[in-house]
Amino acid sequence: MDNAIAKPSKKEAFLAPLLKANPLFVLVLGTCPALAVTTTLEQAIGMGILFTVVLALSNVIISALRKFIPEYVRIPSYIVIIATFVTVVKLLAEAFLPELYSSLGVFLSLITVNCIVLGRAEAFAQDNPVLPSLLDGLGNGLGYTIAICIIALFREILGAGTLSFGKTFTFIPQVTIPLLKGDTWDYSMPLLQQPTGAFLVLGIVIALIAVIVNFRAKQAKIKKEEVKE
Amino acid sequence: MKENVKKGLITTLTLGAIVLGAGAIIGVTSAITSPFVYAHSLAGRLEAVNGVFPNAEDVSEPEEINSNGLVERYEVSAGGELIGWAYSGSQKSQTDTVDVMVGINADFTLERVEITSSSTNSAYMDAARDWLAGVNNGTTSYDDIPVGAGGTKTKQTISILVQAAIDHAKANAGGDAVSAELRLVRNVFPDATESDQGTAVELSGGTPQANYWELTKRYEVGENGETVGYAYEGSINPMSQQGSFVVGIKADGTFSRIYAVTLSLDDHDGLYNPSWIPGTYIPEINSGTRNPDDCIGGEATITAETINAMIEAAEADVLSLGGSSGEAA
Amino acid sequence: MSVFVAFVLAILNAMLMDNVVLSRFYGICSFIGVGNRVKSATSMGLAVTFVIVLATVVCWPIYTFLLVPAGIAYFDTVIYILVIASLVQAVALFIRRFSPSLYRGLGIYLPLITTNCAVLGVVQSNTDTGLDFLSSLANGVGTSLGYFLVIFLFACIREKFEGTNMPKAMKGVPIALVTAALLALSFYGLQGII
Repeated sequence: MDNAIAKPSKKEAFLAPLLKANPLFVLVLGTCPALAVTTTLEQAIGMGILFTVVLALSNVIISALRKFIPEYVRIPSYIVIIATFVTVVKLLAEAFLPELYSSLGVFLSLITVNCIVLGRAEAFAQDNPVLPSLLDGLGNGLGYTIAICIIALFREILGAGTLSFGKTFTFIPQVTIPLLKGDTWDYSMPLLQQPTGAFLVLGIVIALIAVIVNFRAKQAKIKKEEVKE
Repeated sequence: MKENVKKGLITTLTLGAIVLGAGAIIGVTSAITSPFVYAHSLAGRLEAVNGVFPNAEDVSEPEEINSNGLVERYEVSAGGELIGWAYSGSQKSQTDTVDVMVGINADFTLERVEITSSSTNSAYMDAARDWLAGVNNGTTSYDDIPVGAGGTKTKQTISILVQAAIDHAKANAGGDAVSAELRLVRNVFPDATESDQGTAVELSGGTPQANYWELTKRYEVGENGETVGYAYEGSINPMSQQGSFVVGIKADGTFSRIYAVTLSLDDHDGLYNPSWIPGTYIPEINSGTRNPDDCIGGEATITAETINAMIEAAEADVLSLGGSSGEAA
Repeated sequence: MSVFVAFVLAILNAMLMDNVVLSRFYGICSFIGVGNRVKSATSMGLAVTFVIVLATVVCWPIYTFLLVPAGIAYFDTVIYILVIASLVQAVALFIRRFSPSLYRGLGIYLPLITTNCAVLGVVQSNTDTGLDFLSSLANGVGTSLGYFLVIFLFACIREKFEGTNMPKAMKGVPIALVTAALLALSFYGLQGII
C-alpha cells in the first residue's frame, strides 16, 4: 500500500505544511491552543517553539522505533512517547522559562493531545525514515507557529492596541509599542482579547487563507493547462 | 485464545518498555532541572522577605499558621545559620486590612516591620508608617503607641501582630521537640524550658453571664530544672462575652503575665482590643504598670474585675501549694 | 456555606461561567467536527461526560496517593493519558455491547475522545491547581455538563445552516467558528452571576 503513494521528498515534507497543508488553517487541527495562547504575540511564539520541539522529537523517535512497535500497540505507544516529550519540555520550561511556563499553564500539557502531533505520527512518521520525519515535524511545527503568530498579531494589535515584548521572555528588554492604543488615545477593540474575539479571528483568518489557497490552486491549474496547450 | 494472550503479552511488554524508557528520560530531565526550579522559587521567597531581612540568603517554604492574625512564616537563614523568621500577618483594623511582614530575629527580638498592603485609607496608614519608621530604627518600641497622633487603631493592630509573631516564635522555638504543653506555658513564661503534663484544677467563681471565671488546669513551669511558676488555663464569661486565657503566676504567688488565647468577637476582629475589655488593661498589667486589682478607668470594669478575680484565685492556689518546687499535685 | 451548596455552585461555575469550550478553549476540535447532527452530538456529549467524570475519579487519587508521595509528580501527564486511553477503550467496548447503532453512529469520534483536550485538560488542571477531591469532582462534572450543553446548542444551530447561502470561503469551519464566537459572547454575559 505504501508503494502506491510516492514518498514525499524532503523539501516537500518541509515546505508543504507552511501554507498549502498548514495544520491550523487548512487541516484545522490543534485549534485549542490557537485560541487560548494567542492573546499576545510573545506567548504564541513561545508556544510555537515548544510545540515544534515536541513534534520534532516525537516524530524522530516514533520514526526510529517504527519497525519495532507492533500494529496493535501503535496508538497507545505513540501517545506515551508524545506524553514523555511533553513532560520533558514542561520541566525544561519550568526551569529556564518560568514566565512562559506559568502563562501557558495547562496548555503546555495539552500538547500531548494536540491532534497535529498524533496526526503527523500516524500519517508520516510511522512510514518514513528518520530524517524526512524530522523535517516533516519541523515543517509542521513552523507552519503551526506561523499560524498562531498570525492570529496573535491580529488579537494583540487590534485587541490590545499595543505590541509588547519582554514580558514572557524576560531576557529581552521590556518594550511596548503603541499602535492602536497610546497614553491618551485608544482605538483598540478589547473584544478581540476575549474568547469571542478568538473564535472570530480564527474563523475569518481560516476563510481568508482558504481564499488564498484556492486562488493559488486555480492559478496553478491554469498554468498547467497553458503548458499542455 | 493463544493468539490473544500473545497479543496481550506483547502489548504489555512494549508499553511497559516505553513507559520505563519514558520514566528514565523524564527522571534525568527532572534531576537536571530541579535545581533551577528551586532557584526560581527561592528568588521569589527572597523577594518576599527582602523588606525585613535584606541580607537573607536562604528562605524556607512558608509554614502555615493562620491564627492570631498570622498567616504564615518563613525560616530565614544566612551563612548557613538561622537568623530569624519572617511572619506575614493580616488583620482588619477599622475599615482597612493591615498586611504586614514582621521580621523576628533568632533571639526573639524584633528586627523590622514592613507594611505590605495597599490600604484604602491612606491617612491611617501614613501615620502608622511614620510610627513604624521610629520602631524600625529603634527610637520607639513596638508596644509604645503614642495617643492622639492619628492612626492609633492601626498602630495597635500592627503592635498586636508583632507581639503575636514574637510569641509564636518563642513558643515554637526548638521545632518538634517542643511539646504542646511547653508551647502553651511559653505564652506566659517565655523563657520556660520544661513543663509538666498539667493537673486538673476546679476553681471558679462569679455568676455565668455576669462575672463568671474558672480555672481548669495547672502546669508547673520550669527553667533549666528549677520551678519558676505555674501556668493556669482559665476562661471568663462576663456579661455575654467569652474569653479563654493562660495565667502565669510566679512560684512566690505573685502575678506574672496573662495571655488571651481566644476572645469572642464583638464588633472588632482584633484579639486584644474588643470593646468589652478595657482598652489598655491587659497590656498594662502585663507590663507591670498597673496592678490587676486596679480595675477602674476603662471601658469595661466588670470584665477587668472578672479577670482580676481569676488572677487572685490563681495566686491563692499557688500559695496553697506550699511553694515547694517539683511537687506534682 | 454547606459543602453541598458549595459543590453545586462549583459545578455551575465550571459549566456556565467558565465554560469548557467557550471560555477555557478545551475540546474545540471535536466541537467543530461533530457538531452537525443533533443526535450524534448528544451521544458524543454523553460519552465525553462519562469519560471525564471517570477520569477525574481515577486520576486524582493516583496523583495524590501514588505519584506525589513517591516524588514522581512529573509523571502525571504520562499516567493520565494512559488512564484516559484505557477508559475510552472500555467505554467503546461498553457502547458497542449495549448499543451497536450508537457505536456505528459515533464512528471515528469515539476513539478521538482520547485526544479531546477537555478530558486531559480537566484532569491536568485539577492537580496543577491543587484542588481537593470534591472540587476536582465538581470541576469534572461541571465541565462535562458544560461541554454537553454547548455541543448540543451548537449542533442545533448548525443544523439550521444546511443549505443556506453564504460565501464559499466561509462554508464549513469558518462559519462554525463565527457561530461559536456569538455563543461565546452570550456565555460571557453569564460571568459574575454567582
